[in-house]
Amino acid sequence: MTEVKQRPAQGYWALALRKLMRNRSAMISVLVLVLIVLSCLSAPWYAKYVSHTNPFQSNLSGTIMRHGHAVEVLGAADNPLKLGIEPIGPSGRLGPYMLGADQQGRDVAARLLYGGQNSLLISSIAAIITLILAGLTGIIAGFFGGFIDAAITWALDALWAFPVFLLAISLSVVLIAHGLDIGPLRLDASSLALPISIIGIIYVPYVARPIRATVLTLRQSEFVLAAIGIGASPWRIVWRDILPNVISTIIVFAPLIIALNLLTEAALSFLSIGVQAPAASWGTIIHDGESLIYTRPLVAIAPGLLIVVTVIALNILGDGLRDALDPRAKLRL
Amino acid sequence: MNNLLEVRDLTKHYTSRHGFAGKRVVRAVNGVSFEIAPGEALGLVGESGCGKSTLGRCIARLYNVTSGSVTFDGTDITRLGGRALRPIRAGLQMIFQDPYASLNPRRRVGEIIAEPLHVHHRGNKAAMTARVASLLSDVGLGPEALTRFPHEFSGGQRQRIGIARALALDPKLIIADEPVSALDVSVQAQIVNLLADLQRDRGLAYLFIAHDLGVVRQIADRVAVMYLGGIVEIGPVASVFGSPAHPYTRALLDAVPVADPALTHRDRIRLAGDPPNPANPPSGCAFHPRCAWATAECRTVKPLLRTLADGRETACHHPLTARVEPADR
Repeated sequence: MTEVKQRPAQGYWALALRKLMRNRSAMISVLVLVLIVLSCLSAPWYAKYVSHTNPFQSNLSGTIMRHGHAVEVLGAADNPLKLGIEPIGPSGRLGPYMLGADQQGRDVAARLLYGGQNSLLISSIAAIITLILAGLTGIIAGFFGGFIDAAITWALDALWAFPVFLLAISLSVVLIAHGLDIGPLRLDASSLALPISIIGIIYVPYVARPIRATVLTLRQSEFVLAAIGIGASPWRIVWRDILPNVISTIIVFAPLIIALNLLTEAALSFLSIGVQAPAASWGTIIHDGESLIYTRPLVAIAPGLLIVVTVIALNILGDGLRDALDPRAKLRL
Repeated sequence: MNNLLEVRDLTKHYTSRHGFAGKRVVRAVNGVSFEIAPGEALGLVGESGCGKSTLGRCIARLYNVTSGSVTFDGTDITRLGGRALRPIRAGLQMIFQDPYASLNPRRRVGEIIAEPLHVHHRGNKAAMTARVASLLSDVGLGPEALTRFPHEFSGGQRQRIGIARALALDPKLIIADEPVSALDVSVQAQIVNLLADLQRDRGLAYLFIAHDLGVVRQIADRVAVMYLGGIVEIGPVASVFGSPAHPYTRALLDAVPVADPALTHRDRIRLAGDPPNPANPPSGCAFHPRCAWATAECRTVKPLLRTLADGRETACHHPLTARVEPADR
């Protein structure tokens, strides 16, 4: 009875990490995501040394040299009446206007990288807000039960009952029109904090509900009863016994919520109620490309592809994390 | 008052709501009284769902009590809560049924056993480490277990860890809620022996909840038989198991499988039907629908515990020890 297997004690996290490292598709996703993040971070460098343009300034009458002769960035449209304008097309090699220009003559490739910064920043910070709020509300509701649980559940249900986009749109319209004053803090309409807080709040019920359900089960588990029997205080039990057992659920949610946020941000920005011009995000670039969809489809397709690739990578990573951390959980978004 | 634990008329009701249709009250524990002397082991037996675990958890104040009182070591703990209860809890610890669920999977064994010491501020770090190591050896585990996680141990080893945790605060009473029923038979005997040794060495008192009568016979001084939330018979193990007075006790004993068919007695009674729903208990004696000896009195008048000549108590209008078997069986 007394002998114990003589293999080094492996912590839960060490085991989970090893499992994740062995998951090839999850590792490829991590690689793809790291590449995307690094490229987006290199945006200023790209604008300065590769595209040689300011991607936030219109370039309506500029010309560049291509194939040995000068080409207008915004040329006349190629139709019989010569009505409208046609931005320069993709050059196909590293350099100015690699992916062409948008309607204001800005370098689409540089804007994609800057836009990616905003898209990823908004999605990630909003996801952190969502996970912290959902963790707090879910744990408190599930652990303390009774009136607290009823009040929190009711509030989450109320938030949940709103159609997500309608809620985001109405919040955005109000906040972006007027900005927001919180005491000494003044957020103006172009601040990224607005889309971040809107997106960060709307998905809280999505995560808080499964966390509350997990905590409800844990609350009845014998090891929590044992902690109560020892005389541990409720906060000690939450910290030592509940949190370590729900943190994996929260972590599994992280990439899935970032992916969801990325889509929401793109949708809001496409509707011009997310990131405000002249700043860019993948959503605003799709919006810019909307009117060029027949002549210069790449302007809309490139950010769309980036969104799709990022979301798929995040979802595969989420699946891998779930397999590694929480194999019995069935959560899926 | 020299009883370590006194339970008086303990009642635990659960209320379940059915929409707007109203409430249903489940009487999980219904007016239970008994006491445990220091160093005594009381077995508590009964079939699944009779309320024995709920009773144990009410006494350990893991659940709130609906009515009645629990007095531990001279203090009424029925309504104590939070901080006031903490010093009492040190004297009254629990061992749980499922050794796979009773240890936090994310914490190392050393932390798990040291947790009660931390909560009760028992000594500094070095003293705690020494205490945990000695507890581990008391339950038959080596010091290498300290840094390991619960999933690295077998069921029996995990139950030893649970016992070490329960012992950490030097309790006077341990409520053991079916501590061996989740284990292999060979491991069961080891754990029961360990519990018996600890009782002898430390003068522990046990409330030993079980449905395995053999285990109770081995460890308990007295035994209480529960049926549908109430105690139907309580007394010394030898007399209760030797000559049961309550028909339900008799039925439980007769249900124990005997290895040699020649030894089974002819007139075994078998229980007919399922235990009644505690939300809707039968009138009179709760056992009357399944009792071969039930009379009109049993159907209407609820029998109370009364003391028989040999000192045991039973809640039956017609105790078996006082009459002959019915002729038609």
